Amino acid sequence: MENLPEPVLIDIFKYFNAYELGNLMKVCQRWSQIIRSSNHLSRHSAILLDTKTNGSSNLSTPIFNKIFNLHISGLPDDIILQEFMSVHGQTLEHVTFEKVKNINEIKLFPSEEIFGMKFIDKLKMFENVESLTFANGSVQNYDRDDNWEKIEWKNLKYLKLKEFLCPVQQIFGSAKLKKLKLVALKPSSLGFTNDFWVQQSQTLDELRILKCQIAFASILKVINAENLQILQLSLKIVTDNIADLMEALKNYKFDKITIKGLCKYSQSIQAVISNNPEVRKLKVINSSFDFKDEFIPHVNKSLQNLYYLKLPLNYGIIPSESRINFVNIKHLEFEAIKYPIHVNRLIYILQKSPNVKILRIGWIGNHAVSNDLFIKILKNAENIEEIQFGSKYDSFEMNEEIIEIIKENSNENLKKLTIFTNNVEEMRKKFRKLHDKNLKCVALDKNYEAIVTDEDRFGKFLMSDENKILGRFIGTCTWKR
Amino acid sequence: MDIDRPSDPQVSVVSSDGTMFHTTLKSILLSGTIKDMIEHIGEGGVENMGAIPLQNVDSKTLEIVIKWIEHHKDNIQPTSEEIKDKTADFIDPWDENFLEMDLDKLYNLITAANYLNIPQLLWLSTRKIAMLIKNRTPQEIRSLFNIEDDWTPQEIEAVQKENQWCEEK
Repeated sequence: MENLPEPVLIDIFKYFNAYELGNLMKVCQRWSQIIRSSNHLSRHSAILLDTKTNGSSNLSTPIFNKIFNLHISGLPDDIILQEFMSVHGQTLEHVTFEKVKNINEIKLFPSEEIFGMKFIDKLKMFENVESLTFANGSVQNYDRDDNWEKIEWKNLKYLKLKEFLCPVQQIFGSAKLKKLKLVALKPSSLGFTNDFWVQQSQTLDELRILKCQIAFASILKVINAENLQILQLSLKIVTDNIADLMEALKNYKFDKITIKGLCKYSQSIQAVISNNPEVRKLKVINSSFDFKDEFIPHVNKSLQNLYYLKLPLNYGIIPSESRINFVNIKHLEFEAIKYPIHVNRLIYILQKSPNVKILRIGWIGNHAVSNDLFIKILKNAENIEEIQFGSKYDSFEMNEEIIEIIKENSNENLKKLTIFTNNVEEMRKKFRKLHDKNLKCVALDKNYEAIVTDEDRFGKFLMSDENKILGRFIGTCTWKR
Repeated sequence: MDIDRPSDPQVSVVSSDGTMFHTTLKSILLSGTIKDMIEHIGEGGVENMGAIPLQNVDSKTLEIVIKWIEHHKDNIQPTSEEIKDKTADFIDPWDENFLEMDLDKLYNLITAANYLNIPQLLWLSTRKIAMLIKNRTPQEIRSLFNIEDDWTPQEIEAVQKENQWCEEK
């Protein structure tokens, strides 16, 4: 082991989070030196600065020489933060704040006179970071600090704010963002002027605004529609006149559209679809709206190039006279299936999508009868190479009978079966019965233990679910003054 | 198409201690290192190229490697890039059984997989080592892998102090 090349040792060490790596450093000097100096391991392990609990008085660099990825729970006090940032301020790339709203409970921030720096000054220490996330919890008491000095963000490209109460434009106005996600912000933080959107539209390629009480039409009219690659809007509490919004959206041409959480604008969705015939990827998710019966035929008619389609629970009945033909669809996904009412619709769409290679079904309403569903799927989709049951939100406990069905299945095209389960080990045991099939079986828990891709973890760091990033890689670091 | 030519020609490799092994081209191409060598020779020369010397792999280890590549010759193998950050996946029970070997053999297998550039085999074997290390104390890890404790008392005190937060968890 002592003589293994450094890259091989790093391959071994990548299975350990920051906390465990701290322990491995004690094994020998070589291991210590390799772990400490490995930027690869550091990039893959978020260091948690947990300011809610009292930790070590030692503020020297833990684990890594360079820290790229910091997760801060609570708002750190001044000395901890200043000492930490004096060492890592230049290299830090990704910073996530969470539970900032607990600052009152931990008495770190209620009054600048007594407790030191203002929030804005703390934030200024992060002016070099590339991505910044306020994951949950809001910065409270912002009204004590109405003089928001501008921060000159040098590298900030990815910004995600959830339940953030401070005025976004005043704080982040100087940044040239590539990706911006705003979730559940109050009107107090949403006072944007056109200048903000004009500047951002020069660099912005992803804009997601969810659960915010904001008028989209005026924003969309200002943004340069040519640059934007992804636009995600949740219109549940939209303040727009819907006709204005649809008019503004006419300028936007997309090759993929995600429609999430829409509840009352089915016709408008159809209008957007009609206006984007080049769309290749359409996701309609988390929608409580019962789509009109013409929805699927409309999608089929409008989007001839579609290769990826994800549908919500209620995607409408397909009228019998419709002649749908999704010949280009390779990837078909259903957010949920209620047995038996949706099964015929699913099978019908499958039959009309002869080239589907990947089928995913997130939630199955009645597990007890899913054997029948599985048999029907296998029968009607001979070209399918990959099937996934369940999602990170809904596990699917596949029973023994389905294992037998797969065992008996003579379809050689099926190459991969993925099941989200609450009991990964149990599922793996079941899978062992399939060892003589040429079938890759993957059991996943809700933390996506096995499918964290590079892109999910880093490239789209801010936009991916926190669990994907933190579920596996975080180490716990506690600090004490 | 040359009908006399076998679809998967035989290839010979020689270990560092001079033992010759025969396997198929399809199997041996799972090794990135050998694939590079063969690509430089050109396809037409495969049958006539003679045994490939592998100076860094002894016969016992090479035998294990050949067993693995022959079993996986028909599977699509991930590239080094695809495997770089992979930490968990379903492990084929055959592979699990295959990796049930003593630590010396496993160590040699890792070294060979690294030298021969077989990403999936390297991934499986490094993962196996990682699982062996999990939840062990530094002292247990040293004993397991026969690693010398090269810290001075002062140095280990400094490291322990620095990483105190690990123990306070």
